[in-house]
Amino acid sequence: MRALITQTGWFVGRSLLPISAIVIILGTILWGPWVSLVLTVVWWKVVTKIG
Amino acid sequence: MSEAVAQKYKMGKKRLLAHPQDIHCIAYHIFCLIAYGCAFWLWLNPELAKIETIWDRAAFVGGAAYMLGWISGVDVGVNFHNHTHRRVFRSKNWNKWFGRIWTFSGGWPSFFWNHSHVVVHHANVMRDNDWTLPKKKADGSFESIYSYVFFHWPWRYAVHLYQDFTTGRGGRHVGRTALKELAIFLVLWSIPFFIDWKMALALWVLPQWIGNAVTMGSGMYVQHAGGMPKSKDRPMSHSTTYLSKFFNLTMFNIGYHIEHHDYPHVHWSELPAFHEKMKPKLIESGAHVVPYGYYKAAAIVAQVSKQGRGYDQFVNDQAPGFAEEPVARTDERKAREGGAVGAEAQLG
Repeated sequence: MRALITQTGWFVGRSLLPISAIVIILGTILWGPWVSLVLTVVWWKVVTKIG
Repeated sequence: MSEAVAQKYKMGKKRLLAHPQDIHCIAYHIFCLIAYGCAFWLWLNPELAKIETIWDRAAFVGGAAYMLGWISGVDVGVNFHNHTHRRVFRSKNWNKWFGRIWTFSGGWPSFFWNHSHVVVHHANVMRDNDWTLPKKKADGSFESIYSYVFFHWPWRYAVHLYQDFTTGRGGRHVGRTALKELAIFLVLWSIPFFIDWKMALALWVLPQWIGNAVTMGSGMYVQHAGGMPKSKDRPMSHSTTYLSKFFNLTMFNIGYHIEHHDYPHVHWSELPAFHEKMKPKLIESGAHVVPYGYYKAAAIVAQVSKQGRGYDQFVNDQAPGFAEEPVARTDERKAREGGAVGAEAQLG
């Protein structure tokens, strides 16, 4: 179980950027294009700060 | 042959990937293609995404194109990059065809990127014939990051690739191979234009410009800013190593760049452990090592203020525990002050 969680963690971590892109793009269906635009800017700012 | 060895050999023959961790490289690229697919689908069905006015569409393109460009730049510049050094599949044909499908969504024929990176950049890092890097000023420092981002891709790349392929740099049949690969690329790359040409410009060409010029351009810039060609006295001053854990987790450990350039065949997943082994050498040689990642570094070098260029701040930054004054920046400073060491550094 622990190994599965670790592997999943690595999987999500390594592909965090494209997964976040899919969430932001598909999320437009839920919250519309303006919120997606704001989320893109905020996510970029966060990554610039920590990465 | 014992039964155990025979079984191991049989299993090895069946294994698709060269290294088990390469599954992350494949997954990353598939997620990128899914992201493009989702954006295309919403462009073609705007009512699903509450896109009603031209401004709504502009907002959608602004967000989606930026995200697609960002991940495409990483997908080619970091992820496919790993494949150019250590092929991810065991089969030659899989490597060739997956490579072609890997880079077309980033606006590149795989052969062209492989040439730029392996034949031009890795073999000549920081030397005058490494045309992938920013132009250098008289004092050895790079042109501004803005010039590099706006003028390098695709303009300078196109000129240099044409020159290389027509003069045989990279092998006898390089021109013929380049033409064949360009034709395959154009067939794949043109698919979105047949679906909707406006969509292709907004969610295919624009993201690829962002991916190559902004993401990959700023990455290339900060990997080598403040560096100099490899020499006996300065063996590790060609690149900068980045230690941010978040950055290296999400960017396939590309931050360990000095280690990568010196030992390009070390698998990307093994670079953190390899860095620990190389640490004494990095300290001894005065290597430039910073505690953050490329994103923060690009934000620093892009700063222009009355107090001085962000570039100067970046080349003066150093992670705790490493040499207080890296060799490269000492020489660069002396060159600016008109010292003889600067001229020597220029000659490499």
